Amino acid sequence: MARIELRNVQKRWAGATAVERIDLAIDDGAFVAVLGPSGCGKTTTLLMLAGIYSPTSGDIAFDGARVNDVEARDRNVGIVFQSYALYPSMSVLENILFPLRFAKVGRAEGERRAREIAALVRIEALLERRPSQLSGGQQQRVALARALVKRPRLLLLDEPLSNLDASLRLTMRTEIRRIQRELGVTTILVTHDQIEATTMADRIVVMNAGGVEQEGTARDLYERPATLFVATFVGSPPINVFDGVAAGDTVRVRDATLPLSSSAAGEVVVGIRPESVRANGNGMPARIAAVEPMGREVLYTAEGALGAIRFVEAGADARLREGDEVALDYASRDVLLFDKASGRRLETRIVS
Amino acid sequence: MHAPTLTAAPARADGADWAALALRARWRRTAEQSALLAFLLAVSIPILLPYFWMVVISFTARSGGVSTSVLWAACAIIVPAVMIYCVVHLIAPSTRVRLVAALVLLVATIALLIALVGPALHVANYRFLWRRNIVEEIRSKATAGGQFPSVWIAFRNSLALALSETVIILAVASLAAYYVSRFAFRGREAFLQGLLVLHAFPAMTLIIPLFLILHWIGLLDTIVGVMLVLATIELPFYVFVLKGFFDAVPWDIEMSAMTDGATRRQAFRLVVLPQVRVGLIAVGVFAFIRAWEEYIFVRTMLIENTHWVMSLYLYWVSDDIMGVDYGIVAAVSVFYVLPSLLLYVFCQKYLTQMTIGGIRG
Repeated sequence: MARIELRNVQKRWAGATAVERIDLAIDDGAFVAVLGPSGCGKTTTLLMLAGIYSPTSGDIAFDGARVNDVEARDRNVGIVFQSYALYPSMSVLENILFPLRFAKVGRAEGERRAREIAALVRIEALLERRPSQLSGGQQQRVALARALVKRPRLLLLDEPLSNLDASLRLTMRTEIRRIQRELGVTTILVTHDQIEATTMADRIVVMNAGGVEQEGTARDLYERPATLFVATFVGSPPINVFDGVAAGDTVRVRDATLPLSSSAAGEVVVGIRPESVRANGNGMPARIAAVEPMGREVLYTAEGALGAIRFVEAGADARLREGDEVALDYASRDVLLFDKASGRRLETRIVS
Repeated sequence: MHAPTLTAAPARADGADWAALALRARWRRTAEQSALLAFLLAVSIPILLPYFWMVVISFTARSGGVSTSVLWAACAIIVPAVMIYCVVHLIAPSTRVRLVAALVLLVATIALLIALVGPALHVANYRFLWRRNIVEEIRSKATAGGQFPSVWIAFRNSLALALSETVIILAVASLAAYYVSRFAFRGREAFLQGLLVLHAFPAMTLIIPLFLILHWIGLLDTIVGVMLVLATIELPFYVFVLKGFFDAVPWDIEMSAMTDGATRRQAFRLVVLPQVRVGLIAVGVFAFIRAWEEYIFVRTMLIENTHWVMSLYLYWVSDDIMGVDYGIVAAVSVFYVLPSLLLYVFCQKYLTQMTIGGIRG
């Protein structure tokens, strides 16, 4: 178990920069998710932590000690790849025993530990099988067991659930969480799926274009996104965004003028979450353009003064139909304002 | 065209026509299969017949000429048997019937062969296996190059050449292919293109320079010299083939092995190599057979008769007694072919997979 720090870490390849600059501290025993779109540098960061890549500049520290030059095999890090990366020529038991070969653990002790960890991830019955004879979920558990058997100080999970079907993903989410709690191992989960990040991790680091956009709890990211990127990346369905121009105490979006709590100037982006919009009969007039029932809720798209706006209503049945005239209202404290040029959120708010 | 289909449709719908359609489909399948079988039989005859003839001669010929009567007798028994089986295979409904038919035919064929051809068979042509001075005996005088060596010396030389060839190529090609597949280095593209160009380059053109080089470094007329020459010429191709296999091994398992505590070398040996096992076996078999059948380079670079390999032994046997005793030449040929044939039979399933791996790369 260890406290992990990345200080000013950068990774450049011959032609491109994969990781621009990362500063991050992860507490001992924490479960942190690194969330970002593909190509944002999150896997590169993970492989730098594992010791496969070494950073171009900056430091990586385990428990305060710089490990940049420590080889992958000496870092005692467990890793689960998206592809699981099981060794196809070995049985499940041999796969789990593999890390112990190099850890100077005796055969009997190794077997005992392998069986113990196999019980923890519930694959005791599969030990003699080959990876090719396992389902995706079982392979995932084997990969987890192999990563954990040497009692790593850091567990890295690279998109571990993306190859599983929906129901299995749900199970494994809780399973991984349970195992992490039981062992108390510092864990970093890399994912592009916000649900995985918010449900499994204590803290979430949102990455974009090689840098950290924001770090915080799921609630922080949702309610107080630091940047427009975080606001659009977190939340489903995605936040409605409108370009506007602020002048003095108002912001103008197309035909609408919205009052501000404090003065601002220049181009801004107004963000309104679909969940905070209500079609309750008083507010801006709009016409329903699309109705998409999604099971527990209905997603509507309406055309109004701001432009196209999406909102959701709970309930399985659609109350409104295409072409209906509605009046949209929203809680003004839920409206987010961003500076268009920098993408950073402005402290000023809409008042009603 | 539309009208008949439209009128035919209701007739089918009532079910009366299904049986006729099924019957037609069955007949068509049978016809297609018989055409295919006939074609395959026809094209395999020119390939199989010479080998079969060689085997027949080696067991029947006596000093003097070659009589083809045994060959035709054997063919007269085997060809109808194969054809009968083909017909049974096409007509017989179940595997059990086919199996029984195959067994009956096999027993009948063997019985007929023993009865008609059996008396003509003998193993005297294989006496070169245990007699040394066979050529001298037949020609009742010494050969030009002195005493003819025992076949086992040539066999041992061939085996040494082929095995060491296999070992060298496997060791060098696997490491080189792994490096080319996994590492970025200056001139990697040029290196890969060079491999292909080298393979396209006819090696025969190098025969004189190679002869001179071997002479200067004192390896002329040694097995080691030929071994080095063959390995050098063959390596580029095998590096390229194995690179394809290594390319197909995912990076993930290697990274995984390294975070599990393995060094790069251990990861290569314990995790990556088992993944390219098929490729290694295929390359090993081809390298072995290639060296086993090598003729031009050994003919040029091996002189002393104690350095002969099997291909040279066969050449000198046929050179000295061709026209006098075909039986011995055929017997030596059969003996020469046997090891590669056995290797092919045992490794066939790996060799057929190699093309797949090769294409992937």
